[in-house]
Order: sequence, then structure tokens, then C-alpha cells
Amino acid sequence: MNPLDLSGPAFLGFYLALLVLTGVALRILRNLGDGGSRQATAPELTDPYLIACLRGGAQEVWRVATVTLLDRGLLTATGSEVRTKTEVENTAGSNEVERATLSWFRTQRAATSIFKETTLAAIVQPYEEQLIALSLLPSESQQSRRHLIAAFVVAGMVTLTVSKIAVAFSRGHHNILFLLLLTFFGCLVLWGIGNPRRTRRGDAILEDLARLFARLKTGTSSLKAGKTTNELIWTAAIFGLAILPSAVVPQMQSLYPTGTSSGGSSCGSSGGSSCGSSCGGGCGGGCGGCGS
Amino acid sequence: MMTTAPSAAGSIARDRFGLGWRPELAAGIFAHLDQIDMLEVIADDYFDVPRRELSALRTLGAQVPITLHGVGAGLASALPVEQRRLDDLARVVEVAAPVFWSEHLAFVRAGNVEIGHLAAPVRNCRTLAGTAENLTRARATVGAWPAVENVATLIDPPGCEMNESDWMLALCDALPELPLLLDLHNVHANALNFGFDAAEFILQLPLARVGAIHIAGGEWIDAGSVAGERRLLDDHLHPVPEPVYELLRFVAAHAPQPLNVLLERDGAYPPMPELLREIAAARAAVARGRAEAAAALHQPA
Repeated sequence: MNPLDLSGPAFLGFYLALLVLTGVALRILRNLGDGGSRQATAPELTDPYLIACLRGGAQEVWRVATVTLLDRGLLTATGSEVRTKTEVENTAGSNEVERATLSWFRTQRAATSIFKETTLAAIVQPYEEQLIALSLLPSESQQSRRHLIAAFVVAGMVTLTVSKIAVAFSRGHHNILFLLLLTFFGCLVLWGIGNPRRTRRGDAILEDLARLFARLKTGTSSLKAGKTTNELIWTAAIFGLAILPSAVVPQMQSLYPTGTSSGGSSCGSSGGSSCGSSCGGGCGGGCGGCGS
Repeated sequence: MMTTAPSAAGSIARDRFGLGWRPELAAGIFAHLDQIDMLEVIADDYFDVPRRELSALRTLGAQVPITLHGVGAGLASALPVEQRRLDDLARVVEVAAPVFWSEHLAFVRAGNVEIGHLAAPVRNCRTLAGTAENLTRARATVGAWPAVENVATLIDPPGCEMNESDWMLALCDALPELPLLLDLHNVHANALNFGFDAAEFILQLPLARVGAIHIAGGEWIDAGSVAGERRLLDDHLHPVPEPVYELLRFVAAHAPQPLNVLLERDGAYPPMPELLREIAAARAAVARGRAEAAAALHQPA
């Protein structure tokens, strides 16, 4: 039976099932391309900034550094802006990331300004390179392969949609809105599944660290401003700033009003929720009309 | 890959100093791995977890060498140890790949009755034979001998036919490859509670078998039975007392092989710098003992 001959609702059901199956296949392909989640030796991960980079990339490194230095009293925050205390030397930073952060905020600036400074990118670059060397982030060739596979899959889904629309139009049906929405959001999700930030091994290591430090996650109430910097930096690095209680970093909301990520894949969740709300709210009327 | 034991066999190149892995201390430990050579993980905490969760132990082991410490096998008994527990231990050991694993020479259950305590066994021929059999089975199941640890006790178990050192010595004679984990606070506490000399006790043991050492603290409690009588309880909630460092120095002077010295702390956690100070003090004690041994070696006869 030709699926293009299915009635509207039946075709939508078929298309949804195909999206799910394709998503599963894409994930399996990605995992195969990444190699195993485990290797004989696990990497050394004793630098919290490396973990922050693994979880959320360069921006997370700068966020964690800024919050840590605020907690240590080396930076002060006013509204959304941050400044290094006058009496603090850059050498008070315990590594290059912290020293660069202290240097950048020598002039009072928005906390997020450090994300855009291209001259600082070289400081975080070695972290990315180290994570790629450890197979925790995909290499360029892995990324190219992922893009190619995901693009191929998305192209296939779009071709199916276009074919179905052509058939529907040829039969005098024009209510294709639901199919277009399903295609758009479905392909977004597929792209996200095919191109996650980390490798399978990177996900596994981050999960391991989350397990080892689980007590930090459940015990954030024991964090005390300026007194538990070790706990704070590891909590922020592994679980994200969003988990920190406001009593510890009261300025958090002002500093990063939209960007206190807590890790995990943003593609899957945002795609899913957007799709759900859009469909439920505004496009029920177009459902089921095409191709019958 | 696990070495068979923390023995003097040459698999461990140098003295190592560390502490027990406690999730509450995770951040402090990771922040100070330059001062921590080794971590001891409680194996029983991982018996009922999925294999995926066990992999976290392997990741921990990539940051710093780990050892696995069992607390519930109940090896020191005339009764056979439950095979299920040995299988659990083997599974954890296989995944975590520790440097070595250890268990207590303790009596913890009879039949299905758990006593909830690492009790000293009745020291007689029956428990000796049972313990040797249990250890042999443990070795066969896990693939390596455990380093067996002497326990602290507040009472002398009734029905004992041997003292502790004789019983341990007989066990070591029966199992010539069995390594020892010497808990110095347990020795210290037993010596004070039962009035023997801790150093003499230590010298009676086959010190060449000692590859690992526990240090810890405790507190004095009322004995209960006799008014005013007190006993030292090994509770792991207090700083290591000076006499334990002194015993550590003594062991280091008499046991030339590499030692793995582990600080035990099970609660009332002080700030990390205090625990690091205790580890540094242990390091210093071993260095003093080594220096004494070296000096004695170079003295004219």
C-alpha cells in the first residue's frame, strides 16, 4: 500500500510513527559513529572548568568562573554588571580562566559580555580540544558525519511531506497546516537527535560525575556564600548554575536572566515542548484534511 | 586491573595516603587530589545498583586509585558466608577495578539475624576454620584475596580460646597469601579497653603481610556494667588521636614494604583542610618511621 494514498489523519499517524522510528535509528547510528560509551580507561576530569565545558561549552566555563569568583569575593556584582575588586590582582585567580575573568572585569561590564569577547576564546579552546581528544565531544569529522546523516534524514522527511502535499493538491485538498507543523518540529527534533553536543561517551561521563556528586545536588541548601567555594564550583560545573540557591549567589537572576542552564540536551526538550503547545493551541482545525 | 593484594609483592610502588570516599566530601576530595593518593570506597553501597551506576566508580577510579572495602560479608564466622554477598562483591570489584579489596574479620550475622555491628568473632578453632573457608571462597569468587582487617570491640567475646593476635596469626598460617589491613585505631582502642600493649600486639602479627592501614578516631563512653568504667569506642567521628600516629610511625619503622594508609571518617565531617591535615600528619608519621628504620639499618652493629 502506498502511504501517499492514506487519508489525512492516517497519514499524520504514519508520519509521526516514521519520525519516531527515524529518531531511534538516528540515535543508534550516532552511537555507532561515536563508538562505545565506555572505554577501558576513563579520562581524568579533576578540573571543574573542564566539566563545565563538557556540559555546556565555553559560555558555561565563563559563567562558572564568574560565579566562583563572586563567591570568593574577588568580583562584585551590581545589577547585571560585574567588576573586579580594585585591590584584587589578576594572579588571585587559580588558573588561566579565572585570571582572564578577573582581567576582563577590571572594567565594570555586563556579566554576559565575556561570552562575546573573541580574544578570550583562546583561553577556553584548549578545554574543547582536550574534550575532543578524550572523545567526550565530537571531532570535526564526527560532526561532519553527523550533519550529513541528519541532513539526509531530514531531507527524506521533507521529500515525503512535499510528495504528500503534491498528492493532496492534485486531489483538491489544501488543509496541510498540521502536516507542515509536524514536519517542521519533527525535523527539528531529528536534527537535535542527530547532532547532540556531546558524544555518547561524554554523556556517560557526565552522568557518572552527576552520580558521584549526587549529594551536592540534593544538599545545595548546605552551600554557604563565601564558605563552600569547592562545593559551589563543582555543583555549578556538573549541574549548572540554575541549581544554586539564590541565597548563595543572590545576583544570579540579574547576571544571567535567561541563561542559567542546567545541562542536558536543549534541542530535544525545546523542540518537544514547542511542538506540543503549538499544536494544542492553534492548529487543530487543519488536522486530517490532506490526501483523502 | 586489580592487583591481588596490598602486599609487599611489589605491585605498589610507594606509600600512599588517602581517605574514605564519602559523597558528602566529593567536592573537597576532587579539589584536593594533589594531596590524596588513594580513596577507599565502601563496596556494599554498590551491591544493589544497576551496572550503569557502577560505572561511576570506574570514572572515580580514573581520577585517583581506589580500593573497595566490604563491611557486611561477615567472614569471621563458623558459618559459611552467603554466596550472594560474594557474588555482589565480585561484580563491584570487576567493574570498579580497585587496587585491592578488603573486608573485616568480623561476625555480623547468624542465620538471618543481623546484629548490625562489626563484632569481634569468638576466637576458637571452629571460627578459625570457618573464617579460612570463607576467605578461600571469597578469593575464588572475587578473584583476589581480601586484605583482612582487625576489628575493635567493647567486649571480649565469650567462649574465646585464643587471644586476638594468636587467632590472627593462626589464620595467616592457614592462608599463607592472605594480606592484612591493620586498623590502628582498633588496635589502640582494644589495647586501652583490655589492657594490653598495642605495640606488642602489632609485633606479634606478620607485619610483612600488612599492605594497608586504617587510621581513625573515637570517643570514650561509659562501659555501663561497672560504674565509672569507660571504654574507647571506635566511632570514626573524631580526629585521629596522637597515639594512633605514634603506632603508624611504629608500623612504618617495622614494615618496610609500601603501605596504603587510609583515614576513616564516617560523619561529623570537619572542613576539608582538617582532614587534609590528618592525612599530612599520617604522611609525616610514616616518614618518621621510615627514617628511623633507615637510621637503624646504617648503625654499626
